[in-house]
Amino acid sequence: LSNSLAPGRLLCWLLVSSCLWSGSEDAPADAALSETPDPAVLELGWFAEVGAYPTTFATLTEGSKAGWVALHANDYDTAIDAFASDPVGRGRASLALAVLYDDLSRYSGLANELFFSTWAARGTLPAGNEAPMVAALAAHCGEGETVGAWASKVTAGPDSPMAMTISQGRPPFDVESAGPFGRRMSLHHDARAAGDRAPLLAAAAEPVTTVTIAPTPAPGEDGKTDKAKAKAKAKAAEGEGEVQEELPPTDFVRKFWDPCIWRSLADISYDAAIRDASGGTSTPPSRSLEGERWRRLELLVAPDAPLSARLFAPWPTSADLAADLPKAESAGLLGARSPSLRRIGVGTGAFPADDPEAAKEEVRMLDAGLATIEKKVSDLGNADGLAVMNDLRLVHRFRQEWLAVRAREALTRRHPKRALAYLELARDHATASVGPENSPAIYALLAEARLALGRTREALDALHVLAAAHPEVLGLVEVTGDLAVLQGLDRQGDSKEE
Amino acid sequence: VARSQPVNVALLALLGLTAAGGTLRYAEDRAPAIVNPLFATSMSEARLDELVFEGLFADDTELKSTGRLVESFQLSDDQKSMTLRLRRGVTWHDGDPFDAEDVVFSVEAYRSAVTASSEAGRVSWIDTVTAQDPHTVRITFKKAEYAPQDKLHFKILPKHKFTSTGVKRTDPFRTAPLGTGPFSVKSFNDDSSITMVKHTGHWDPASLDEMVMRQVSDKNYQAKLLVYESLEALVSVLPRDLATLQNDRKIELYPYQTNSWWYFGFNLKSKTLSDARLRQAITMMVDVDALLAPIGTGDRVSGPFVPSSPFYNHDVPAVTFDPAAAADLLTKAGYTFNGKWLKPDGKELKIRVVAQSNLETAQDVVINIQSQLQSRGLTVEPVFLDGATWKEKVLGARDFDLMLSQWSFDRNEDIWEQFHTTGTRNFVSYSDKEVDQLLTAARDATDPQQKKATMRTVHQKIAEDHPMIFLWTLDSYAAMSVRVKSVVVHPFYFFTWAPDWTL
Repeated sequence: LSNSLAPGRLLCWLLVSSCLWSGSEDAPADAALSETPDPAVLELGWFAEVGAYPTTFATLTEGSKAGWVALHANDYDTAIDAFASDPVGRGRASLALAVLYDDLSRYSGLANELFFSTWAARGTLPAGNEAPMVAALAAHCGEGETVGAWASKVTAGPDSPMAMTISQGRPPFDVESAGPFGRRMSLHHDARAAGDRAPLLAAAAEPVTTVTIAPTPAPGEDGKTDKAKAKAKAKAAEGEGEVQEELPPTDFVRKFWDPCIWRSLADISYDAAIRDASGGTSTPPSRSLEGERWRRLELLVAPDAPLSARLFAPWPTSADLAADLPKAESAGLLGARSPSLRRIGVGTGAFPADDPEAAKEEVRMLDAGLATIEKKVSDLGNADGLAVMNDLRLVHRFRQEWLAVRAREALTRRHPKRALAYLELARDHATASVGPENSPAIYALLAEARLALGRTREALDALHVLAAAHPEVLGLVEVTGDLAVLQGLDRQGDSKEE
Repeated sequence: VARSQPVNVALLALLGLTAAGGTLRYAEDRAPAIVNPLFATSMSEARLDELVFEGLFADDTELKSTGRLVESFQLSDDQKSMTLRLRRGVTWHDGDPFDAEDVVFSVEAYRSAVTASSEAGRVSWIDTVTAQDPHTVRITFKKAEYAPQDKLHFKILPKHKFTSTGVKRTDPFRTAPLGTGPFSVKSFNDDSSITMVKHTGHWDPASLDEMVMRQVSDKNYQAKLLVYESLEALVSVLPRDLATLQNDRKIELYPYQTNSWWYFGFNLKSKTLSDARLRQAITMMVDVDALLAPIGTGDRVSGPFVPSSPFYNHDVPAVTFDPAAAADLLTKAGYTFNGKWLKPDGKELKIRVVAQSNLETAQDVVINIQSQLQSRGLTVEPVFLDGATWKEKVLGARDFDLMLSQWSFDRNEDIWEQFHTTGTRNFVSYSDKEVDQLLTAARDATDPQQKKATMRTVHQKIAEDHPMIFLWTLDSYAAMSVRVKSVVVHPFYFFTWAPDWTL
C-alpha cells in the first residue's frame, strides 16, 4: 500500500501501450512476450497475471482504454458508456454498479425502518399516509419484514391500492394510482421497462412528496399550558424568571424520499450485466430478485475467459468465480469463498460470532498470503509487470474488493462489528473519496455497518463521501440525518475545545 | 454493555489465551489544564475524565444510555420525575462508599452560581434532586422528559471531598481528583504526564493495569513514538500522517466522529470588530486552502457544522478568497489604504491573533495568516498562550481580536452554548435575537425534520454574520498498536469502553 497512485502513470499504462517498455532500459526478449502463460502463475490471481504477463494487460486495455481507466477508478457509469464495444467489460461494470445499488437498497430498508419505527415509538409520527407509505415501500424494496405492518397504517387515499399490493408481497411498480407515490412508481415502471437508469437518477434528487408544516406548536406541546406560559412571561417581565422566547414565524417543508430508487437501479443494472455477460442471450428486463437470473454470467466463467473477466474483480481467477457462482447467495457475495483463497486460509469459516478480532486475524492471514504471491511474482523478474502492479496498486485493489465482499457477507449474517473490521482494514484512509483507492461499495457498506451498530451519525460520514461520487444517495443522506436527529432529541449535546 | 465477564477473563488468562493487565500509554497534544468535570472545557480533559469519573448513565457501544452508577430507574407516568436505584457496592477511589448524597451534591455543584461551571447547562433541565435513602434518588424535571436517562451522563463528584456546592476552579480537588471510574489518578508527573492505575474496587474492573497520558505537542514526534512502540495510542492523527501510519502493519487506525471544525473567532465585544463588513472583508482576505495545506486534506466549512452533519446547509457557500472584493468592502465601510489599512478614525487597523502555544499546528496556521493579512495591509500581532493563560485571558477575559481554536461536538452537534447570547461557551460574544430564538426552538423541538430545518437556517444566519472565519474539518482518527485488542472508541469521549481494551 505504500505507493500512492500516480495518475500520470495510470494514463501512461492504460492509454499508451508503448509505455510498457518506456520505464526500463532493457525490453524483455521477444521470447518472453510470446511465452504461453504458466497455469501456476494464473492460479495466483489476476494481479499476479498482470505482474507476470503485462503484455496481456496492455493488449486488453488497448482495446477499451477509457473503459478500463474508469473501471479502475471505480467509476462504473463512465465505464459502462466507455465499454461500448466490449460486452465483457460493460457487463463487469454493470455488475459492480448493480451490487452497489443492491447494497444501497438494503441500507434504505434498514434506515427507513429504524427511522419510522423509532419515530412511531415516540408517538409523534406525523399524521397522514406519507410516513407509513414510505416505510412500507422501504420494507418491500429493502426486503424487510414490516411491509404489512406499515401498509396497514395507510388509510383510504389515492395511494392505498399500492399499499394493498405490496402488503400482498407484490411489487409496487405496476400499480396504477393517482397519488404521488403512484406517479413515482410509474416512473420506476417505465425506467425498468426501458432498462434506462437516467430517469431514476434524475428523480433521486427530488422527494416523492412534500408537506409544508406551519411551526406553531400546539397548546401544551412544550409541556406548558397557555396559562403557565403567561405566568412565566409575567415573571420574566418582573425579572424573576427565564424569558419565554417566541418561535420564529417560518414554515418548514417535510420531505419524503423514494426508498425504492436503489431497488430499481439495481434491477436495471443486473439486467444489463446479465445481458452482456451471458453473451446476449438473457431474457428481457424483469425483477432480478426473482429467480436465479443473476447467475447467468457465462462469459465470465468460461474456461478460456479473458483477463477482462476478472481484472479488478473480487475473485482472483475465473475458475474461482465458476466455483462460487452456483453457491453464492447473491451477486454481491461472488468471490467470498474462492477456492484459491481458501488455500491460503481465508474465506473458509462460517461466522460463529460477531467477532472483530477474528476478522482482523483473517485479514492478517490474507495479507500474509498476498505477500507470498507478490514475492512469487517478483521472483519472475518482469520489471514492467511489477511496475504496473505497483503503480496501479493491484494487490491493494484485489484486497479491498475481496474484503468488501467479506464485509457484505458478514452483514448478511448480522455481524456488523466483523463487517466494520474488514472495511476499516480495507479502505485507504489517506484518501477520503471514491476513486481508484476506495470503491463506492466500501462507503455504502461502512454506512450499513455503522447504522446497524447504532452509529447513525457516523453512517452519515460514509454517505457524505459516497454522495460526492453518487449524488443519487441524497434521499438516504436525508433520512439518515433525520434518524440521527431523532435519536438525539432527548440528549444534551456536549462540546469541547480540541 | 456487554462487558467481558470477570470469570471468563480470569479463565482465559489462566489458559494463557489472553494477557490481562499491562500499561497503555497515549499521547495528547496538551495535557489537561484541570482534572475536574465541573470545569472541563477541552477534549483532553473530557477524555481523561472519562477514565476517572462516571455518570449515572453512559453510552453502551450502540450509543444507547445504559446504567453505570444506576442499577434501575422508574419514570413517572407524567414523565416529570424519575426514581433512580443506585448501584450498590460502588466505591470512590479512596474506598469511601458512593451514595445518593453524592448525586444530590453533584447536581447542586453543577448549577451553583458560585461554581459557574461551564457544564451548568447539563443540569438546567432538572428541577429538584433529593436523596430518598442512601441508594435511591428522586429527580423532578422542569418539563416532561421522554428519555431523561439520556441527559444523566454528567460526571458524579464525591461530596466528602468538598466543603460546599459552590466549587472554585482552584479547589484542591484539581490536584487530587477522585472518582468512581475504572482508573484513579496516581500521579501528576514532572513531564506533564499523568499516571492512572486500575481502580481495583470497581464493580466491573478494567483489564488494563495502568494508563499513562503523555503530553506530546509535536505531531511528528507523536507518530514516531507510536511507530517505535514508546506509545500504544495516539488519540488524534493528522491527515498528513495517515498514509504513513496505515502502511505500518503494527499499527491500526480507528476513525471516530468528533464533529470538529477549526475557526478564527472574532471578538465581537471589540467596537472595531463589531462591524460585520470588516469581519467579512478580513475573511475574504484569507486563503483558507493555503492555511490548510501544511496540515493535510480537510473539508472547508461555511458555518458551525461539519459538511456531513444533518444540520449543515449546503446552500451556504464557504467565503471565497477575494482580496480585491475585500478591499472594496473595507473602502465602503470607511477604511482607507495607504500601504496599510487605516480605520475610519485614521488609526492603523491592527489585529491581535491569539492561539495556544503548545499546539504546533495552530502556530503554523497563525504564522501563515499573519503573513497573508500583512501582505494585504493589515498589521497582525500573533500571541501564543499556554493552556492556563488561554483559559484566563481568552475564554475568561475575552482579551483578543482573533482567536484560533477548534470546537468538537458530540453527535448532537448542539451549538447553543457557542452561539446563544447566554451560552457558556460563547467566547466570541455572538448575539443575535433571531438566532437565539431558532436555537431555543431547535433545542425544544420534538420533530426531527423540523429541528433539522431550523438548524440549517441557523447555519445560514450565522454564516451571514461572519462571527468567525470558518475554516475546515479534519477526519478524526486514532492510531493504536495492534497489540491493543478489543478496541472500540467512543465517537466523542473516546475512552468510554477502554475498560474492555486488552494488551
